[in-house]
Amino acid sequence: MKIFALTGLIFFAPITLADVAFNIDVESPYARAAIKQQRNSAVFMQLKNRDDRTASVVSASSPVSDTVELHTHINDNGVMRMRKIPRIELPGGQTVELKPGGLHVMLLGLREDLQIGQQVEVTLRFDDGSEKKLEAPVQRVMPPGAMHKKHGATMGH
Amino acid sequence: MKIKSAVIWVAVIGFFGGLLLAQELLKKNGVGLLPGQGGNFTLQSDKGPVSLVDFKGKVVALYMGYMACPDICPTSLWNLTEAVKLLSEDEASQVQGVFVSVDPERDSPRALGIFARGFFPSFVGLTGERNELDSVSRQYGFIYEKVPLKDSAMGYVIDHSSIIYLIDRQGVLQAFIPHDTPPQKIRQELLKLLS
Repeated sequence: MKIFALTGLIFFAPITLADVAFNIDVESPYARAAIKQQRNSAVFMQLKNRDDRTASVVSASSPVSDTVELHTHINDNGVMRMRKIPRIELPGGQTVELKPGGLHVMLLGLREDLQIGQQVEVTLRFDDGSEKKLEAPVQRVMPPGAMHKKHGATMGH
Repeated sequence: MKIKSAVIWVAVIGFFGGLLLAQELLKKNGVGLLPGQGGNFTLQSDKGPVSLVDFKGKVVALYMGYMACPDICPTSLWNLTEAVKLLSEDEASQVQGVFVSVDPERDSPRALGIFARGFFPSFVGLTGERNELDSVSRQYGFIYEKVPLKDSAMGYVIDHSSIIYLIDRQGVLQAFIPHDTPPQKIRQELLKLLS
């Protein structure tokens, strides 16, 4: 029995270490301040994939809203078209930026006002089923410094 | 014959000159300003009907969108708010921020009032009947479209232009501020109309 358990540990250990959540760094997350009457808000962040394989965020959840979805914006000649997307792809060795006017984690059906200074808990789920929990401080626009980090600027490998 | 060719030359020069002038104007304003665009409108606030002419003597910054918009509208309104905060108190008191929601099914005048004042105490939030909103949109060249999102809890989104319309003290539309313009630049545009 003991031997079995040990074999299992050895067998599964590398897989556990290689799960997507382990290889993704979340940088400068923040949620946008909103009042309940707006119904919705968004969470932005930079997601750095330290692995060399492409991974994806496939869903998210948060206690502050009824539903959480992944969305993006298309700027079609000045007309902003927001659309739900099934996943946010995180290419290996790159940083993907969720930012205003682009990709975001969308909070739908706010259960409370999101006030500056408050922390919003968000759980990201990846394509291998692993999860990452993060705390996003509520901000008006953007935390200082976050604007300087550009999409794909950090090449890990 | 000579007169005819002269007329043609005048027409040709006029045409290309016009094109160049239009290009310069486009460069200057970001988006083309068409003559006759803009004008008065009356919509509903939480304190009753509000017309553009009510703000005569003030510089009006008009933005149109919808409250369920999680990103584009709040970003634009925060940029405008920051720009107003960069002004002196006296200048800021001469600027009127107006948010018009083209989503009256979801946004009540009451909620819009709370929303708008949350950005800056003097801002107003307005909406109206669909035909009234369509008419304001046409006047200002604002494009919007209600799009069902079947797979989303949103139900529907509203695709829309993201422009701050700057209206002078006489109620004449003077400039378009394109999306994502930083507060400093918006402040400069406001100052041009305040001076």
